[in-house]
Amino acid sequence: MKLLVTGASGNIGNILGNKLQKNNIPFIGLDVVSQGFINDDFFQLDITNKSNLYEKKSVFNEVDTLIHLASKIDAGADITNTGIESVNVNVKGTLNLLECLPNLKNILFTSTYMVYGIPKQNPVTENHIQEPHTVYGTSKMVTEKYLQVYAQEKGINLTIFRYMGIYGLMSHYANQAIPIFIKLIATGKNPIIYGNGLQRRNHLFIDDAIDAILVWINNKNPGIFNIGGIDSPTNLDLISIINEKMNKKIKPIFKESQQYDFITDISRAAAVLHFQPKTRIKDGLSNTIERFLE
Amino acid sequence: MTFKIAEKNFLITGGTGQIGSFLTEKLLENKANVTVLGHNSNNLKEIKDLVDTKKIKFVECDLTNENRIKTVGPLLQNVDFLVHLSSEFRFPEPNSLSSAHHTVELDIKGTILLLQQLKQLQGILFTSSAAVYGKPSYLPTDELCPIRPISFYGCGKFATEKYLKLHSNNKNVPLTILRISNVYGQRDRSNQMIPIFTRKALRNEPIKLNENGSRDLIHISDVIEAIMSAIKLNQNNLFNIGTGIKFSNHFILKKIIEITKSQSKILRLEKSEDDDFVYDISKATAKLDINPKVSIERGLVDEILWHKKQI
Repeated sequence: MKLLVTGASGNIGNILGNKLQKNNIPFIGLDVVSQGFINDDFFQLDITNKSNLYEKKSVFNEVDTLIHLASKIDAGADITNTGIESVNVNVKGTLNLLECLPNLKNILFTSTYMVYGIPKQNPVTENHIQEPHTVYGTSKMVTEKYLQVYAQEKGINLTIFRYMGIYGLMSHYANQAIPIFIKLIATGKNPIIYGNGLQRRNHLFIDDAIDAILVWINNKNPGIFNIGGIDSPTNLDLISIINEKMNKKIKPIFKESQQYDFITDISRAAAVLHFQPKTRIKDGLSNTIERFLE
Repeated sequence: MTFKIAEKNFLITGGTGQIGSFLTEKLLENKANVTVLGHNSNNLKEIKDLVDTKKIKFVECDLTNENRIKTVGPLLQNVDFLVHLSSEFRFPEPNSLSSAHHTVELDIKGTILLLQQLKQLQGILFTSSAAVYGKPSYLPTDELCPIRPISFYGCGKFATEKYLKLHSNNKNVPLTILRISNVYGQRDRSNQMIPIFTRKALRNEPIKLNENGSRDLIHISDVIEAIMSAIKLNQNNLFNIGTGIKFSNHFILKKIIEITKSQSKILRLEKSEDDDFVYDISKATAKLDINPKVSIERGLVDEILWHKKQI
């Protein structure tokens, strides 16, 4: 296997790179920026720049397995604002990569639960209707479709992970609930809860997100899989656990907002990919707080 | 409450094509102001007279040209309603990556760049395609059928639907999506089955036929009626637009040969690339209060007469 990992300097890429090295799995890393863990075979390249990619064609010619993490994350909903850049990186960037990788046999593409939009029913299976309400979710959904056509056409083994919201890293995903809650509670400030705080989500711990990739590297089972956590805590649960772990008693402030449960059905990944998350929410949060306090 | 068409400013993309030219005429009859956006002012075809006599405005703009879209933006400030017919390109290799790139440039980015210029929209109508269903999971295919495009063309159409939907929700502009089956009738310049069969039949040349295939053919005048009805309704809606009747390719070919009194021989190909296809149109029939009127015989005569005049 000759493996290429895009987004190698990103949130998931960094930790994945470390794990791959520990497990003696050689890989080529690619990212638009160079930071964090960098392996010997790292190329700082922008996937939106096809001619830059083509300069490394001799290297990419050998690649038969692609783990495509590189992505423009933007939670906005106004396509006239962020749409073009999102399409350029996520959709066109993916097509550029495919053009430079003529000998691919396996692709793992990391997508998101946001391809579904607001759940019609929970738990959300992979067949749930797709009505994304963000620029990011739409770009991922569209990229999935292009990849499916390409893989079918070329006889490539395609796996798509629809990750649930990932936690466990304080420095990244800074605008997500868990890191914000931890930061505010640590400094004695009241965290804000939108809605009544009773909505549930099966947040995915970063180590489990990485483990799913390692499982895939071993079996490369194709298909579309929801990858989410075991537990589905409410925001109130999260705040109570964080308070307990940090020996605090900070109360949240509630702000009126329409919120909804989002729990993905992860049984297909268990049955077909043979992947199951291991981290309970209490342990994941302890771990996250420890990393924060370091 | 219906959307009043009279005096409204309509922008039609791909307005020089078959649907675009007929729709332009229909909107003018209804006293609308029409601006057509197309990529070549030297090839206006049926709308040339309307442009020359200043009954409509023509804006030359290739939707894959970002700078040009920004340049013509000021001409589009007052558009009330966008009819996005976005022209289709036929590629030598439809499922090559360069075709994929082109669908992203034209369908997705072209749409977003255009929307950046249209700040006062009161409605959007987009003509999508049955290609979003790929090989449909079931027939007759209704709007709930799973989306599984098997071509980059289908990906581009589906992506455009979804980006438009996001925009519609975000800006509170009603969006109608019409997934139109096979359109035929006069002004059909496509390289599809009926024009190919017709041209060969008129020349008495042998005609290759893929057995087994069938399709849901809808005449252009019925398509225009569906579009007009959808514009008047102007609500968030998604409709499959066809006739709900399927005709085999073999039947169509025999009809064409009969109408043209052609001496063409039918060459039967053993392997069929075409599959069965037919829409369930009950949603459109009920909500748009329409019913396809043109029979296949009358529709074919209409298209064949037009092709004869082109020779």
